Amino acid sequence: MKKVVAILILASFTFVFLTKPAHAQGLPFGGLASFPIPCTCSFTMAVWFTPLYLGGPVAITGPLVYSPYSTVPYPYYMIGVPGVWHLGSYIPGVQACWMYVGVACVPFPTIGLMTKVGTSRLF
Amino acid sequence: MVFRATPFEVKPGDYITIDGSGFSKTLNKVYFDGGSVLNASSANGTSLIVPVPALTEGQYKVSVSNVLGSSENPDISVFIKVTSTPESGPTISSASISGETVLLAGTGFTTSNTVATTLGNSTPISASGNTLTFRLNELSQYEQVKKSMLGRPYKLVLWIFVQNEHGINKDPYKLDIII
Repeated sequence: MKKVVAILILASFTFVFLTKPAHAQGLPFGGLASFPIPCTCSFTMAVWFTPLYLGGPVAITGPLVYSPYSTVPYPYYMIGVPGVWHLGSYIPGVQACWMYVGVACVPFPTIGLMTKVGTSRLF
Repeated sequence: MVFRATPFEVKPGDYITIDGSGFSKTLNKVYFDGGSVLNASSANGTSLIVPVPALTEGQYKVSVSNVLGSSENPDISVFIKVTSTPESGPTISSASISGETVLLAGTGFTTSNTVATTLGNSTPISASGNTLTFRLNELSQYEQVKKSMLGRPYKLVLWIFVQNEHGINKDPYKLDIII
């Protein structure tokens, strides 16, 4: 009986973790917000993180985009506030930030688009 | 929504590409300063290609409307410049960094350029035809980013645009740096 239960549990884990691609909901990220950058043409917001962890041991610095149309926010909803830690998932390489420069908008390349994000409190 | 029209400098009869979103696959109306209406279709919903009508020399605001609405936005105006002698906007073919100074090689740099990057904007320290130099520490957000690093070095991707009276490079140039 124990063997059957063990096999069932193992099969469930296999089903959940192997049949669902990790990138379907994005890759994980975590970082400390330095400052927000308004994307003036696309009505989204790039958030500059230092440090920014993208699932490996190496910390980098750079921006990820928060979109009110496609990013799911979680408590404490302090997205882009300097000094607040952020944790969530993102899709790399999505062009979701356009900025106005002189006579037109230009694509502002970022590391990716957040799919969901939660934050710490301010202090 | 209209993001840009390229190239910036054109003459009547030239074709421009309008990048944006919400374009109809069947019928869009393209306006130049609210007039000179052209009909256009969009295969992908994000770009339109139209000829420049017979307009007199000058700068014209480009807007698009369709059944979904209008791109008119008082805060964001996208322009083209009609001239009998259009010149190409700047292009960047390579970039190198030495200390805090970035050297760009390309074409179309003039005496009135603005550098726009992921670390903010600045005015170049020098530019002549095929080369342009600017300082990282003069970029508007450099100090803010540097301060947040607490003295540690970090890898950073710097995307670079150059804008002047003839337009702006269409695709940003990518430069990997450590600051």
